[in-house]
Amino acid sequence: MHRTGMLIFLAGAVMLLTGVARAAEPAKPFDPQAAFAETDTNHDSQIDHEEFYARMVDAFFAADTDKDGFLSAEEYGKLPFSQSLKDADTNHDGRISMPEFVRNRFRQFEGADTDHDGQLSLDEVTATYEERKK
Amino acid sequence: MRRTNIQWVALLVLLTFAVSSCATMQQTYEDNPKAVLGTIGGAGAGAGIAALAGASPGWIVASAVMGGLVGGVIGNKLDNRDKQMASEAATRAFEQNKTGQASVWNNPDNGHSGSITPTKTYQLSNGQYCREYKQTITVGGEKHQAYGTACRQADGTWQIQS
Repeated sequence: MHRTGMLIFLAGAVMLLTGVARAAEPAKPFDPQAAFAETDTNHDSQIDHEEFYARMVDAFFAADTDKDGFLSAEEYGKLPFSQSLKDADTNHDGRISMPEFVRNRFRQFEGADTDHDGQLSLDEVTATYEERKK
Repeated sequence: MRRTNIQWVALLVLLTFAVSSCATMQQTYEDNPKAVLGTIGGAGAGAGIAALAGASPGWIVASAVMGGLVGGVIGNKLDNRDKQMASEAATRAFEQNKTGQASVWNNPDNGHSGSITPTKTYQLSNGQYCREYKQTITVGGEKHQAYGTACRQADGTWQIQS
């Protein structure tokens, strides 16, 4: 009986520690190359508006963890390249709708498109990422 | 014994009907894999391949409890375990996967397998999420493919639209 109790205790301790270790795992860092590859669905080494839009919709969907159709400040803050909620919340309702999010991200797209060809190259994406890391 | 004109007309009508039925069946199989994958019966209960095929409205229940009636060529070949696995894969794919990321299922007991891949995500004006998807099912080494759209309901379930 005593031995069984010890085993249960040990099992519980291991489960607890594993859970803590998992919880303590850092969020997966943003990888611009991987993101670029995922977004460039036609594999022409450029991200056009259509590909970017599809990616942003997917990003919004994934970030909207409660799936209420909007991003709260907390949900929005977990996305890479998210600055202040106020930047995107154009109707000032304290949350981000998908149109607001997409508009905001397309402004970033234009800022990153340094050669103004209407597409993003990997170099432009990486340069923007490095700039924002500073 | 000579046939009357009426008998000849009747015979021609029957022949025409038989030939057109064969043509329709062939067209259904090759041009509309959704129909091949089956149709769901019942009052919107349960989930499964037929619902995913989108032949008629059905429900993908988050808990993947199966309750629908599955028909069609493929539906008849899937057992309950297949349908449950397909339903679970669909729920995972719709709820969690990025566009282009497949959720696969594989029943080792009979070798049947399948995958569900969201191909496009969008939002309706009321904020509701919808996802277009591609579905494949392999039964007896034969691969079948279908496409459809599922929309997320307020209760977290996904309803097949098409």
